[in-house]
Amino acid sequence: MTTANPIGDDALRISDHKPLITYAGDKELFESLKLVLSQSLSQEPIEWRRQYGRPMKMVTLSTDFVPFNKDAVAEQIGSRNLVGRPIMHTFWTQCLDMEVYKSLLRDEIDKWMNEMNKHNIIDWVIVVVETYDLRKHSKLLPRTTVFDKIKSDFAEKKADRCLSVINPPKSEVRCGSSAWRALITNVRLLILSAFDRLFLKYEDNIRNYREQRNDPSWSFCKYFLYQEELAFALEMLGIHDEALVQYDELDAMFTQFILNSQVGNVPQWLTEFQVVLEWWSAVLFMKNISRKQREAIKSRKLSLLEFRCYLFSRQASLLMAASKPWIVAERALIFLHQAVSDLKTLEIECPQGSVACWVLQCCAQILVICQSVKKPEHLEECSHHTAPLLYYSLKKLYELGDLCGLLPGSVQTSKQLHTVQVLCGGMQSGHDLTTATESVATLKTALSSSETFSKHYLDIAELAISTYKHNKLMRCAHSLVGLELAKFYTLSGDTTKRTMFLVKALKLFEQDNWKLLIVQTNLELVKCFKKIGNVDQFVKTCLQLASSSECNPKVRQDHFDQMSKMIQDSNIDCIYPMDDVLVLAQIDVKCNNEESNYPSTVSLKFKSNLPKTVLCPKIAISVVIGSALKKMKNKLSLVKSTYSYDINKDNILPMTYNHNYQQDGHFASTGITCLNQKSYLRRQDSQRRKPSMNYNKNNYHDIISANNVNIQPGMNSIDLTLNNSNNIESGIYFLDKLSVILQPRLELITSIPFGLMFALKNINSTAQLVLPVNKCLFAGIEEMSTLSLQFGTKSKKIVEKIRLHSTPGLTFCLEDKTEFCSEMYVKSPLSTNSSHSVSLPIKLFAQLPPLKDHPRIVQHKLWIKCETSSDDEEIICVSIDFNLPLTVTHRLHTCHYRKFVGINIACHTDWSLALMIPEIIGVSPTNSVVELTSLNSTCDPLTCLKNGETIGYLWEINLSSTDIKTVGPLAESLKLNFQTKYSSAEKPDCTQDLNFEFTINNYKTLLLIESGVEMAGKSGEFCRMNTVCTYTANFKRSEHSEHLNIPQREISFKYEIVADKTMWAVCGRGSDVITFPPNSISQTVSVEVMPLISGFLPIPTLNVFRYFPSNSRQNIESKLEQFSIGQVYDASKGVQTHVLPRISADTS
Amino acid sequence: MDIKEVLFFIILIVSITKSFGENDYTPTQSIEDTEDEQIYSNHKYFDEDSMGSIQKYEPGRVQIKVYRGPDIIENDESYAAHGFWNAPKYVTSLNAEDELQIQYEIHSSIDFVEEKLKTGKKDMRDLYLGLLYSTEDHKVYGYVTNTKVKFFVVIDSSNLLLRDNEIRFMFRKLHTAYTDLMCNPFYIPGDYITSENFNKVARGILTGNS
Repeated sequence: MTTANPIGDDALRISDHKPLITYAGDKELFESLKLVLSQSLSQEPIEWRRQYGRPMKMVTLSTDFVPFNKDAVAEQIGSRNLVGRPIMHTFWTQCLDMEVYKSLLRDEIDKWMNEMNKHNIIDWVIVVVETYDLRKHSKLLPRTTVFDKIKSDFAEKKADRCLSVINPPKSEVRCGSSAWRALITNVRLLILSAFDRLFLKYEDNIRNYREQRNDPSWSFCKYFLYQEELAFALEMLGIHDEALVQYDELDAMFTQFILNSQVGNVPQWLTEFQVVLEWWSAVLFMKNISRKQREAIKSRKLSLLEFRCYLFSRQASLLMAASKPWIVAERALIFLHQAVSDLKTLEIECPQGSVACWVLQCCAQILVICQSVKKPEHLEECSHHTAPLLYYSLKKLYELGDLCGLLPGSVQTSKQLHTVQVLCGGMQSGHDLTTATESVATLKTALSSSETFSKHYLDIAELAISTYKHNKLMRCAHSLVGLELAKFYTLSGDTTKRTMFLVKALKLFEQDNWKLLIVQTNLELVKCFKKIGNVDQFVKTCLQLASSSECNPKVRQDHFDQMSKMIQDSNIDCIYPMDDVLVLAQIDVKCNNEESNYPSTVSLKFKSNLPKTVLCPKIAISVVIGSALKKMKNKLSLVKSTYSYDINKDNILPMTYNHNYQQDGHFASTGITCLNQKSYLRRQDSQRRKPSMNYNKNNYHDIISANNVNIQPGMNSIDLTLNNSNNIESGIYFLDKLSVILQPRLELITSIPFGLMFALKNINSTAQLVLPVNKCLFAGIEEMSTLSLQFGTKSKKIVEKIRLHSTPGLTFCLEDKTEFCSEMYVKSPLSTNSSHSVSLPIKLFAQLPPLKDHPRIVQHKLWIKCETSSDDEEIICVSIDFNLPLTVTHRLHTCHYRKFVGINIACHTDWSLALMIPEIIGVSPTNSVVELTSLNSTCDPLTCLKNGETIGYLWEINLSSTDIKTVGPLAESLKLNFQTKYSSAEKPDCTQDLNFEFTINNYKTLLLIESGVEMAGKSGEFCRMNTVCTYTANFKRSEHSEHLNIPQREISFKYEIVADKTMWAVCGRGSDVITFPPNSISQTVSVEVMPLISGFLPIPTLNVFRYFPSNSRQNIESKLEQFSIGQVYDASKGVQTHVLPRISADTS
Repeated sequence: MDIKEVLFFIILIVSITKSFGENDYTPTQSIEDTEDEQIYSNHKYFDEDSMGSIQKYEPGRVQIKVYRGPDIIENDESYAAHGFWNAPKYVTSLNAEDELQIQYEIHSSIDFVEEKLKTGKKDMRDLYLGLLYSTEDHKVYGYVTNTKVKFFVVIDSSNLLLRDNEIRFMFRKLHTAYTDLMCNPFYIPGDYITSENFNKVARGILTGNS
């Protein structure tokens, strides 16, 4: 590669060349200045302003100096080379003596100038170096100097070409002197203008030559070398981009020629490229230019590929020099494609595989170039372009492998072996440069055996896929390289890896929804899954294929059949998202039953993409409970009876304005917002991913369903019914998932759009007695009624038996039975579905409660227990109120010492109550002790009472006989039992016993009071108004004890006179205590009263209490005690006295 | 030799809803990168519901802010139906046998479009993206509207008569046709394009009698 290389002569390096400057005159002087001069020139860049408005460039000049040689100059000027031609000629002198100048220097310069003029060179400079000897220096300046003389002699019109400078090395200021700086600047400018002129002239030449391109003898190769020279020169000046432009122009021109050849414009020189391709080694010379190749171009011996390679390597090296390595990578693919397309266009005959070999070598070398980039950002940039290159070489490698039988699973034939040899041979020859050898060696190794080929192929694929991934070009990575790899693994039989790559690609296609590509990938995948034995995926993919409209019907049918067979053969339950198999279009929830809001039907409208009609065993919709009904009572009313959903309207988001106001009420901002965005933002993919898991959680999956439905391709309308709703809780339910069982063990699931709901209201089982309006039940009598049972929504099964059970005191029997009992079983007379209710005619009998508590209503309960075949039971309780048909009251009546018992029976029934003759029996002390004499009439044995009527009975207690037989205090309490029989007047046969037991206490008369009002004094017989009268009360103690000869104790009473204050004014003491001493029987009290009005006035009455006086000894305070009824007999009760009006003053 | 003008082309509709400001949506980016991103101007949310606002700071000066709604942009599954963003909306070609291969190529080219949109080095006023992808046989050119509708044109690699300008012109024509289509109230954005007029324009470009 370098000069050390044996074929180093071959290498041409532009960087070795610098613009040449000749020097003449005082050579010793120049040698001493040479180093300083060249350093100074390259010290800083200079603006190169060019003609024709070309962009300005900054150029750093680094120059080489050669002694002037007139022969060499003549030769160089004559040649067309731009590199190696002296660009500037200088003449140096330090003569300051005018005499010396005149005698010697002038002739020397003259001679040199003659040479210049001879070659028409105008780029020359004469430099006079002045070395001042300050000591010798006279203070007077000479009139003319040598410099002035030279100027006037040689550069009269070109003053800038004659320069004077103080010898810097000798001067103290050295390079810093202004003269020296002026010299450097001038020289630089002159060099550049020289170049400018040179280039313009050269470009003119090139243009002229180009114009001749239609000349048959014109050759592009020759032209190429011409223009390349210009590029060289520009490169030499360090203007890489300009140099690149030259090459780009050449590239474009060449391409255009080839394109023109398509339309029959084939120039002579182009046909020389159209020879059969013999060598396909690709060498990219990055650092050097191969002289040999340039020679070959000159002699038109380069093949098209070699020429393209040369051109590209020149472009690449210039780009590298301009530190834009990524453009190399970017251009590489275009270059390769162009070269390959050129071969086709020019119809160049090339052995099979040769082009692929060439492309692979090129790629390998370009990749090496890209990898050698040092700067990380450049490397990153490069990687964007290397990935397609890698992919391209991958494809080419596959092509080669296919050609040579190196792909896995194939066996090389001898012909293919021969091909390999030919290909390797074609690569070997040509230029043995190390850059290329590595790539050739790699390729040769790859071609040597199937194993090495596979390894190389996979290496490249790995590199390609990772580079794409690194650049985040996932589609390229997975769909381009991934599918290539899948193809490769198909051959190698590695189904797992193949599947992996296909699945990855499929994911991308699905993400972007490219139907055709999805189908294509699925077709491949189906084979893989079948091979692997992945039933689940196989079925899923088959299903997708069967339902994709992009496939032709036969393929769809075929995959559907395969799927059905697979499911039948395997035992796996397959649950898949519905996706595109069945597309929901519309859902309507209709609730016919207004009362309970049962969605009696849910109509589905969906499109089936399956290839044929399927009889699907079941379609069901699962529901989720939104909320329990109790909490949702308010919302329940919001639940409409019909909900519907149309998929076509779903895409429109509910957007509204959203205005924001500041605190002070000013408008702050506005925007739009999506209502209910959460439901739209729900991730759909995660729901789809595991439908089965979601599905299993749901308890209500079968609630809405239809069985054995035919699903036809295209639109289907199916009504699902709500079934078995009895056993779910009340509440609002949302439709959740739709499940379609396509065939046994193949289920499709999809989520139903949110918002479809219905409400379920549960009805508990109820029972009630059916009674006519305004009719009530009565206790103590047989009542007919009907027990009506309403079975609730929750009863799962049909009721088999009903057990009736009542509170004590209530007996019942069914109509057909005769015996009353308090517990019985009834066989359910229910038929299956038709009705949820049953009526049982029932006879009830509630016992009369003890009547003495005077109850109005008797409450009873009846439990109804519904027993089903499973062990569930449901108990319903019925409360039954029984009214009493009659009430019985008793009363003790007294007359002096005689006692009577009165019984009143009141009737409350709607119907007539018939009563038998009653009797009363003394129960206590003993049955026989008390003798009761009936005072009732006995003529009518049956008394009928109507509602509200009362009947009274009266008995006298035969006291005298009783008292004689009884002993002491026992007689104080009597227990009596009133007995009778009653029945409804309509049914006199069904008599019921009525017993009324009661007790009479303290019935004996202890005190007899007789009172009256008399006129006091002698005023007259009658009382007069406002006249004081005397109220006299006579208290008489009972006399019973006298008979028994028991000495009577001392007893005290307290009396109070109770008088109507409008009638009587009590003038005396209104109350007092009367004490009966022992053996005293009677006492009389007189009190003065005054009638206030006239007429028949009821006399004042007396309230009498038993009085226990205080006993200080026994520390007992005095107390009053009320007498019980019957102990005090007021004989004067109700007596009136006649009060006369007051005698008027006149009469008196 | 028979020169085919354009082999094939495809239109992809990317986003309709998410076209606030610059949109460097990248499907390949990880999902966790879903934080709301400020698109332009300094701002704060008024509440989480608002997606954009015009705030009046002082009388007469209205500042417009546009920001990305939560989750809608990055997560392509969120609002739109699965496979909405980059799905082909119109495909036509002269010869059907190449269609599959070309679809693969165009699908991969989406990557390059998105890369170009993402890097944003390009002058966004120029909708034409230039050559996206080339193989030995085909060249894929791209064009992206401001609402991120992607157009692709594939031409035969050997056809060098079609220069950049011609291809630009094709795209512009397609864009016009597409705009006309969008103006049709009966067209639902995002649906597969079945418009008669659009088809006519597209076929016209294909056959070169434009």
